[in-house]
Amino acid sequence: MTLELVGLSKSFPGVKALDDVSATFHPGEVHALLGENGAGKSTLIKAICGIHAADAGVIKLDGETLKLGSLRDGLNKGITIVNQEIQVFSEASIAENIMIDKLELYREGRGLNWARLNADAADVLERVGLDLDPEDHIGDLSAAQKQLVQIGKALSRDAKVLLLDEPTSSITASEVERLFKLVRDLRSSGMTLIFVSHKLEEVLEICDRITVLRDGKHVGTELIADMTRETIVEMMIGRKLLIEAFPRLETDADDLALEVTNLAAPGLVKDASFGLRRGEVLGFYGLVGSGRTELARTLIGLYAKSAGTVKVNGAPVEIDSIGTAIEKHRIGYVSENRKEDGLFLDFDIETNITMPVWKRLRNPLTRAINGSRQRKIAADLMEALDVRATGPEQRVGDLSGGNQQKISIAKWLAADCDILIVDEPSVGVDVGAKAMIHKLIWDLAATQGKSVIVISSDMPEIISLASRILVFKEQRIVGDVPGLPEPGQTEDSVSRAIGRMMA
Amino acid sequence: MKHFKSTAKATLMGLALATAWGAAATAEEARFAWYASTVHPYFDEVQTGVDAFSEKTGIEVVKRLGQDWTQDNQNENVSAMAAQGFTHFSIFPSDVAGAQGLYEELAERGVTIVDFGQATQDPTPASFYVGTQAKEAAMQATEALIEAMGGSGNIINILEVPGENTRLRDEGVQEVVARYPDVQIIQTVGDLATIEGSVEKVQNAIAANLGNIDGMIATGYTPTVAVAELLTEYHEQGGEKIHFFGIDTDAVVMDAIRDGHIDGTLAQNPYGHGYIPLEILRLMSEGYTPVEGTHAIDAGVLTVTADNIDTYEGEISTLTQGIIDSLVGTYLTK
Amino acid sequence: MFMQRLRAGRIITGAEAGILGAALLLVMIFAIASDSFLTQYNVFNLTRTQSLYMFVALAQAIMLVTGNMNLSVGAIAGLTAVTFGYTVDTLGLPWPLCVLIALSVSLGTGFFNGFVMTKLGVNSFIVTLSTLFIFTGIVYGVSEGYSYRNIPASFKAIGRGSFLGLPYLFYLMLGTLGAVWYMFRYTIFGRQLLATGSNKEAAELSGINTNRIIMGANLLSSLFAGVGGLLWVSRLGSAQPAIGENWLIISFAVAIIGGTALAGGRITALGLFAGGLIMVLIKNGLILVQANVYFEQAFLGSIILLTILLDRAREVWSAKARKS
Repeated sequence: MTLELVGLSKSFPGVKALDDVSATFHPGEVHALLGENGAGKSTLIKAICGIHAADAGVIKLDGETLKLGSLRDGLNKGITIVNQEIQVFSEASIAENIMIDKLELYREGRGLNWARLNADAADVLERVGLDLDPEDHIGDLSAAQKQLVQIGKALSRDAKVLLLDEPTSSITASEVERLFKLVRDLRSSGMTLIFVSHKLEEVLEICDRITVLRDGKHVGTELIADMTRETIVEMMIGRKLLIEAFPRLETDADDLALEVTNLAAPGLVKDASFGLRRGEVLGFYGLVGSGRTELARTLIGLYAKSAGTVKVNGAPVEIDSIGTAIEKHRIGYVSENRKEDGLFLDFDIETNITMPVWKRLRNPLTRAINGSRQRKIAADLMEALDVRATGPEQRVGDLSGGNQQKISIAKWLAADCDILIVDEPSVGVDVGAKAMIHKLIWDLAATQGKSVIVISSDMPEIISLASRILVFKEQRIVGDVPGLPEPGQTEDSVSRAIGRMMA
Repeated sequence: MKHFKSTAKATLMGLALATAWGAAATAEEARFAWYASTVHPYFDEVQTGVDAFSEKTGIEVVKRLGQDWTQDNQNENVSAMAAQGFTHFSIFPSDVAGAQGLYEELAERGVTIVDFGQATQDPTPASFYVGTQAKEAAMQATEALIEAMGGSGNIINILEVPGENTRLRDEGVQEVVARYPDVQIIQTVGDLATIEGSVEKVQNAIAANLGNIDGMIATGYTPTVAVAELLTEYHEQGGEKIHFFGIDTDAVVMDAIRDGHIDGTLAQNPYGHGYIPLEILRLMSEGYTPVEGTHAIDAGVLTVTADNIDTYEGEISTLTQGIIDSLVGTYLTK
Repeated sequence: MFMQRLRAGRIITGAEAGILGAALLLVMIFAIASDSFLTQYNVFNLTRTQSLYMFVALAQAIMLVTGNMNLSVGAIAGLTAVTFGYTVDTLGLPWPLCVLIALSVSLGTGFFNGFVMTKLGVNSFIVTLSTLFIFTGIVYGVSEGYSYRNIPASFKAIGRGSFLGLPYLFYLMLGTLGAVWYMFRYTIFGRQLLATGSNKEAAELSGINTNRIIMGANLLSSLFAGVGGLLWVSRLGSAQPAIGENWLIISFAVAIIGGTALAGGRITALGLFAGGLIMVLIKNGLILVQANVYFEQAFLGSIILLTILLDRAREVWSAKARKS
């Protein structure tokens, strides 16, 4: 069936996630949906399968306009999503998981006709090429097998449109081959397949057509035959960088604020060595789980290191807790999960900002924290970082994403941190705030001499901010690329260089 | 002197019977056990009776205490003991209704049971119940309180946790009060399970009726201790005299009687609760059977006031001996 | 200055105002409904029971603040009471020394709970459920169910004496609540307790040693439970092994009515004061109106639920007001 999107828009507070997106997905085709983090892919997927209702625009299936209010509505229309996050009932059998929403069909007297149910489930398993006993525990299956079971379940529901959301992110190469064989079979049976992936090689291998999103907008839809890896990347990040590259910071290669040699943490980081120059912005680029955040968290003592040495200002140090990192070595870490582990959303701004420095504000006699000094520190930083709030006593949970991010950074400035590690600085903030945060980070290095590590999976962000970029893959640093503007470098050449290292 | 003689006689009789039992034991291998819910001062006193029985008769009685007051815990422990081959049990049923299941199982195995302390609900496989008659004891205490009040006045009725025994005690108090036209129950306080809770509720009841209370009656152990503490403080701080009768002889209560803060308490006969059931079990192991229509054996209660506080224990011993002497004939026959 | 801050909502917040209002309302209703309510005897005893409740509630609230709980509060109180009774009665030591020994024992129980929680990483529910049994077992093992009666008169005076018509315990409660208020408002430890309960991960990433904080909460909790147990001994005049048996429900009820968040991160001293007051008022009121003794628990439960629903409604209203 042909799935048609006409003028879909969807806003969340502070962000326009989808902006007038139109696209057509044809039966008998594998259609890739591409875009960087935050481009609007996941919102679009959720709109198609019914989880989010769009603010404007319509979704048509073979010309019929759909009204989707929930995932169930989508399922009833034959639209099914398969992803890694879909929960299975791990204590139940494979057959029960496949037939969970069809048990009614197998009712017999007061019980179920198990023989018929298991036989039907066995047919489904055969269709997806799994040689398994339907009565086995689903919890014992591998991620790839579970995914195939999910696809089988979709087939048994007579799905017309199948969305595969990052289907290869945690399965092995041979399992990928098996999955792709099934996808090709489904394509030839006339199904409409939508494939979402970060891995361009896979897209080039299996897809017939691509649709690219950027900043919530539809950039284009092309036949894969007309595209190359380079042209796809170009579509994804734009011909021209949206954000101007900042002027190059002059740094001294011998003046290292932080020097890391052969650092390792079991299962997280392998053999990492690098130096962070004073007054520099260093980029860590890589996918989630590639080791970039893990390295940062090992540095600040959150994860235990198993090998390697760390020097701060030339002196070897042992950082065994975050307290030590902050108080002794003045290293601050801005978490990527602002709301989960970065901020206290129920507390006011001044409490959030001054938490690491309470000891300095304490009256030795009364043991009380000096409230007016606390307020002044918060107010000064709010002014310096241009935080938009009613005052230092406003609840942080009521602020916009961009202002929240400024508070997370302000906290470490209050603590006089010389080394700042900022993890995904612009996730969940709108375009304007994003630019302000970039400017703030750059200024910290340029005018205050702070040494900053920016961790990001947003390529334009990292290219425009960082003077050098370390590329992470499979828990290792796999490359070191100069940022912009470097003589002879263009944004394209940098992104291609990064792409080569990651492939 | 008289006391000594009767003890000696009992010992002689016990020895004679023990010899007879020795012969019987080879036939059916009677083994005696005593079981109570969990640690409590009452059970300590009961055990002195059990020990006295063992000493006099030379019969070994294995004593066990459970871990808590639940019937589940009791079921587990007693079943395990029955499996070990014990044939005669003296048991304090943790739950007078809930113990039925356990007793039925035991009876099927041919085990003989006597309840002590509180009676399982009728019909029960237990052959006898030895203990205090809850209602009669409550009536006796109420009579003593009204006498101390001079035959008229207002009473607060203080009850323990809701249950069969509490209901009987409540009835006993009300029946006696109904006989005196000048006596009224002005407030009933209930569900006193813990010491702190009892103190708080009784205190509230006093406050609600301040200046209007002549007496209080408590028919459970925990509230009695709480009221003894409370009235000691109340009277020491110059509160108007409130008469009080409680139950059991906790040291706190006895102190309050000696100091004149409360009038008295009812002493139960825990020694008898220990001794008498085992004597019955011994006789039954020798072939005695219950006399038709008998079940509850009142081990007696004694009103303790400042007058007899130092001598009441002797009176209880006499009471116990009298019951032991009357077992064959009145309750048991061959 | 004080009035200014009072008006600015920095001393009494909205959350406290609701619960304080409910307590005052109950006081007014009972004062009108019953002549016995405002008698000196009743006021003395109400405030005394409230004070005792406060230590019970603090023992729980201090754990709730960090997002944990302590099911063994009553058992710790019982153990402290029995330790005191044993040392003062059986061993005949001077009572101030016995207080020190007893409180050391209660701190020891808190250390044990905290050690298992933080070093071995066991959930507080499981740890304290187990130690509830362990400590209760020790109480009965040591005391064999008997109470210790030889309590020095000067120690009993703490729980029985009065000043200006109000019990000593009432002033002790006010002082303790004042200290608690100061701790959470001004000291680093107090704020780190709140931070740990509000968002443990964020607290860790802010350099707070949350294990140390949770250990501190356990020590404070056991200290409050221990003090509560000793005050009951003083008030009763004997050290009963059964002390603490009914604490569990009270500790949660007063703490929650008093506005302590079950999920952690929120506590108010004034709210706790009002919560304790509401609890004693309800129990007092049920007796004053001669409620049927067999239905009493149902009445008590309903009134507690009603109070919490009222407070919840107030929260919803104020959230609406903030949005509009």
